[in-house]
Amino acid sequence: MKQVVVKNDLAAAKKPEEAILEAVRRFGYGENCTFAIKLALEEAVTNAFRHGNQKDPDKHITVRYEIDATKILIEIEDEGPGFDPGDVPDPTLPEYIDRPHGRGIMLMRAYLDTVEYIKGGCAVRLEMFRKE
Amino acid sequence: MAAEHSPNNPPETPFELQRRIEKGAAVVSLAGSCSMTCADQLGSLLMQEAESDVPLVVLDLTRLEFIESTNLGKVVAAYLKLRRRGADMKLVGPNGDILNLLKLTRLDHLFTIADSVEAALPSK
Repeated sequence: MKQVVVKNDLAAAKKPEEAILEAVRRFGYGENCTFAIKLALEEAVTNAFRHGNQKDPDKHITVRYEIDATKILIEIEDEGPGFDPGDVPDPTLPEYIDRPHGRGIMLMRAYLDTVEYIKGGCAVRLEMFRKE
Repeated sequence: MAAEHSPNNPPETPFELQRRIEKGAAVVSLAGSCSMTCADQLGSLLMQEAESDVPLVVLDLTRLEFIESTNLGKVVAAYLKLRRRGADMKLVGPNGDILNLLKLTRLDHLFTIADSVEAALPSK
């Protein structure tokens, strides 16, 4: 897998995002897939920046990816203490629907084939298989 | 590491934010890619509207190509603040991708979604 390590900074994390989206287009995945990957990447990176690394500028975000004609595999890892994704409530429940946050994991799961938290929740593995 | 721009790698459409007053409402237009780096800009403007005395904020999404959940959260936070002072927020013209996001998050149940800015504005 290719690996890119960036500072814990959202603007810096746009660079690996750009490289991944270029590869997604180069392998002929459609616009719907490109939208889904961009969304999932931004959700995962934002969670790493804010919740994992607690906005600490001295920490880093690691992005690993492997893209071919049949599958897109991405891992985003932070340097935080980890978490249990089971503790995150469903943001579509009536009591949570008007909360300003907490939708990222649900959206990743809605768009991708696999969203798996590994390394105690410090890393998320995102997978999408070609369908067309 | 990031590839140069090419047909496979078009530059991200820059995020644009415009604001005008129409029929007493604040019409805020979002265009381009509202990515994770735009949340402070969007949140700041929407909070200004929420703390002003406008009775209605119309978010024109007609030219919006992308938005992620942090920015959706800024929209929700401003909406809640508006509602607390008796004002309202309506959304206009999301494309298919954005409408799907609103449906997946069930935010289509929270907001009125109009087809046009004209339809979202008060009739008088």
